[in-house]
Amino acid sequence: MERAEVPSMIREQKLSRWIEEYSDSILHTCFIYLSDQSQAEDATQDTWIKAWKHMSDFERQGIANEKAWLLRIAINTCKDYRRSAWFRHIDRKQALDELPPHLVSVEPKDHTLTLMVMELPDRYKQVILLYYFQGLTMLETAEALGTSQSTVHRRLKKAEELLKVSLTGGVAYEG
Amino acid sequence: MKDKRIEERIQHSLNAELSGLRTTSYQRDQFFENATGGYKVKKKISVVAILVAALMLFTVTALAVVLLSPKEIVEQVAVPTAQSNEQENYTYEDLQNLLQTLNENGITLDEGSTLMQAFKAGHGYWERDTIDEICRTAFGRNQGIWTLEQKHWYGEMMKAIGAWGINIWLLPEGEEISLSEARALAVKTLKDAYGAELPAESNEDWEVYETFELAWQPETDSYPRENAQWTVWFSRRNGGSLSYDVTFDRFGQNAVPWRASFLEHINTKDLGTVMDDLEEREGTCTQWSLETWAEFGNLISDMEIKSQNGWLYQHAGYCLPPEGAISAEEALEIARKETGASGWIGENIICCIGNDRPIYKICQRVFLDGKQKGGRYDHVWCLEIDCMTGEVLDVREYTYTPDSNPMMMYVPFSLLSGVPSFEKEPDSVNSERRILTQVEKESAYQTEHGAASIYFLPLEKQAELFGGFHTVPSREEYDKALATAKKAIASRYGADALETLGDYQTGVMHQENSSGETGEPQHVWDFMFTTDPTYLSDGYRVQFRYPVNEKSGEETVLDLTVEHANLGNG
Repeated sequence: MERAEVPSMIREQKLSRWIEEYSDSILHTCFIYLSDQSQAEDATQDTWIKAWKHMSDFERQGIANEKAWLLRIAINTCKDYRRSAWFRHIDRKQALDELPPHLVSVEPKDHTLTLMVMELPDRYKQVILLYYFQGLTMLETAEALGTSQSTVHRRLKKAEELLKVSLTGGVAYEG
Repeated sequence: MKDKRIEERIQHSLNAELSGLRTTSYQRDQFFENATGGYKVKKKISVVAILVAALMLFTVTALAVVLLSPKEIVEQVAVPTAQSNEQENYTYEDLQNLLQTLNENGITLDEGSTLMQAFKAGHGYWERDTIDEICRTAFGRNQGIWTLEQKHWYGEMMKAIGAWGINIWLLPEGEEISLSEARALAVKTLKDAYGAELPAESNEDWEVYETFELAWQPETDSYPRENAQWTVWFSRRNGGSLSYDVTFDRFGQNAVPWRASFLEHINTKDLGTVMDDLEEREGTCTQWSLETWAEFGNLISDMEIKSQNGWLYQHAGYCLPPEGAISAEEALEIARKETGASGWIGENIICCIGNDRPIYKICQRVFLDGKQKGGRYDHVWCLEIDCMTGEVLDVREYTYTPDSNPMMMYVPFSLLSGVPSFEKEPDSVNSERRILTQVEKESAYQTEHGAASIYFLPLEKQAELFGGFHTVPSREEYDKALATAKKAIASRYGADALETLGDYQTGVMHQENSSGETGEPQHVWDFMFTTDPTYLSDGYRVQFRYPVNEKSGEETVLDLTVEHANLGNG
């Protein structure tokens, strides 16, 4: 079915809404991935540039979940940053310590869990970030990572195992 | 299905940690301008209970000549103290009393722990984490390897101070299988599935541990005992990467074996996955040794390449220095002299083929801000040195820009100018969307989310549309898989679950690929049973695979999941 070309003003409104709605989510995902605030901000900017550039693809393909699509771009951007090796030897704890002051209280154990997530191998960090942190479904996570649901399932299981000591320790929840 | 506890914990932790990291409205405006071109319930406790607690404290102090165990101190001091206040943390004085009791009973906490650091700084500490620290000091740092009894007791303590609403860590009761039965079952399941010879108890090669815990039931948002699940782990000691685990229900049914090891998908992966695997094993690629680069080159040598970077990696000719070559250290020294780079420098060296001769490719990444921690490389020297003569063949200096191509650090300069163009390979989102667009055109089923339910397309049609691993199974294979799926539903939801559903239809997706465990062919099945193939609003979904057992040659059902069809549906 032929689709009418989307006027650029409507695209700009959409991008503007996305930037307002998803910039913090993307920035947080990029920070956990890159362990560097400045790099995370750059990656967030690059994500928006790519999103704008490929807006026509988004429209033409009728992609249902914009957040998953944007997070996919963000993850791929971060992978490029990591591969580019322009920055290495990042001290993750220092990166966390240098973040702006918390707006909510952080329990010491939570600090440990965040570090553990940041130190996960990329393939496991990706699924944790998308599935648990960003709340995507299994299918959306698979789509965002360009892999199968069964692969996401296996990686989640391994990631949960790697985090298990922290996740099962002192968990506060209401039954 | 999503583990609600894990989700809550991760979201709580990361959101709290990152709560100060937010984009400003100015930044968001910049994003736009640059993009568009012009971008915790404390339990109330009665006064009587407080008096009892105080009395117990007094008693403990008075009778300190009789040494108490860590468990007794938690039960008699830590928990009553926590219950006697309305806060979630001990005061400095509470902590001082508790630590004194521990010391008087010969128990010392790690001086480097956050708890002790907080105490030394004159602060109190979280009750939950204080008890946790005492338990880890007593039972072992890794909570996973605690005994079932220790875990269960710990859960009771958490409940007592109000940190947990329920105790998910159970001890088997009644008809539920025992620990020894669980371990024996796990050993048998893994032997059947992988031919693994594993011990029922920890030995010098393997650490064996388990949990018996409540699992969340999404339908009722509760943790019913019927959902209790055993998990038995087998973890290789001494740094081995191999681990196994088996989960099964409280009666030992529905066993799901799992094996994990590095490079498990090595036979079926693409270039990105090969790099991910090696980076997982060896660290980021700037940390790879010459041997790892050579291994990487071999792994991708016959791979179908679909990108310019992939082509560059494949044609770089990663190898080990030939006999008679100068050493890597010598090459690095030559490079340092050549560039005069000083201060904090990150270096990496690769041996590859440039202009038909073996060369060392060296990169020096200079920290402009003069410090390594938190520093960034804004400035890079790339050099190529003849492996045999040590002659510096080429030196180039790069300054970071957002458009910088990192490939100049990983491949010979001579390759960079001759990269063929590649048509952009549709990624899975695109390819799936392309397929669904075709399905839409053919007026196939639609879901309320605008995506077509491809489960109900004939398998032949799926194979035609998807191609690749999507193949048409034989009738015999299909019938066998269908029987397995129905059996799984009966086991999970009751023998009459499908019958109760009514006039359901059966949809299926099927793939035939290589098992990650054995590399042997396997069938991957995804069944959907529903009366509503349009919206999948009812019924059941069953997924599993049938890899061929590497020893017995028999097929075994793995990764079996059974859930309601409408879960995860948008």
